[in-house]
Amino acid sequence: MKLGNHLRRCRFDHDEISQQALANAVGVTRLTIHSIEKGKFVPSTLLALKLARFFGKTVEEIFYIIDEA
Amino acid sequence: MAKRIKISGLLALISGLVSFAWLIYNYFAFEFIRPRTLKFAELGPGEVLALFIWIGFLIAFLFHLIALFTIIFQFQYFKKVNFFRILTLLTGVISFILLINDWGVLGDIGKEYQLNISTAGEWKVLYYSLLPHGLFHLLMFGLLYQLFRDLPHQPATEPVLKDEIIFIIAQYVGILCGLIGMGFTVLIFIKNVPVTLLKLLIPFYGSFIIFPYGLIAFYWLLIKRTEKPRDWYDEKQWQDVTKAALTTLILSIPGMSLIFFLNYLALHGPASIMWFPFYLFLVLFLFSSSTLYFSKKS
Repeated sequence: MKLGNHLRRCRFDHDEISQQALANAVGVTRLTIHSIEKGKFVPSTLLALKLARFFGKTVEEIFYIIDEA
Repeated sequence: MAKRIKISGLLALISGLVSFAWLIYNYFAFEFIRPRTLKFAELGPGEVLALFIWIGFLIAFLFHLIALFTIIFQFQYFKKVNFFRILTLLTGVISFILLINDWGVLGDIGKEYQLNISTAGEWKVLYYSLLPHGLFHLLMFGLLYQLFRDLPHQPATEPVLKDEIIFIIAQYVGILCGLIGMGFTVLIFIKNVPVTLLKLLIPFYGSFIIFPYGLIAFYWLLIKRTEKPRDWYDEKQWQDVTKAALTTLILSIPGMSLIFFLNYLALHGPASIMWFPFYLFLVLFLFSSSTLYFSKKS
């Protein structure tokens, strides 16, 4: 199982907020946001909640499970 | 930040020009002094020339320090780790370490000349190290040209609350310092340098080889001084350094075994002193390279 996300879409919908601005808002580096978007890094529950709160969404609206065959 | 980078850039340019003039002066001074020391003849006016070589070390040392900080500021300001900046930084680290080496070699030439010992090998080292010094000066001038060209056109940059640039470049410097340090300890071990001399050589050269890494680590700590240790890294960086620490532990075991084996064979031989710098530089190399790997991979 892998973790997918709609972070890129969320940023787009949020006035095309930059990765750096989002990183500053949730207290991580730009590289971490980039890695989450690419699906290479799985964020902690706390960071996932922070991201969800920032976009005014639930965690499930941003993150989802990809079932692998 | 823009003001700080402008001032450090200007200082780097002024000290760099003086330092570059000193390099050219050194070449001609070497050409004058070398034949006389090889024949053990009187130096004559060479005494005065040599004095300016020594004085010039201070300016060159100052230039290297200012230049290294300017490169770090430039990385931070433009938020981009590109090949040219990394090349300049790494050449600067090599040039800095060689500068300290030159200082030691010149001292050796002075002593051996008085004792009528041949210094041909030492002169070769001095001539060869002019190349990386010159290369670093030229690269730095190129970087400063870029800096003053791009600075007025640079749009206002977004603030960075969690730094990643210093984190990345510290790994590049760590890899280079680790490699140079390991190369140096292996070379000294192979050359079978007497243990009494090792006691003097290792702390002196070891400190200078690790100095550039220490400089970046110091600057990083300065930035982080108001933060709690748990906030020094973000969660991905913590994960990267944790993986790197495990990798370092596993990969350093063969190195530790080698040191143990060499020490076991000759308890009071060079390995009884060399184990520490070798292990230190090995761990620095492994940790920095694996941190960089994990950081880039994910």
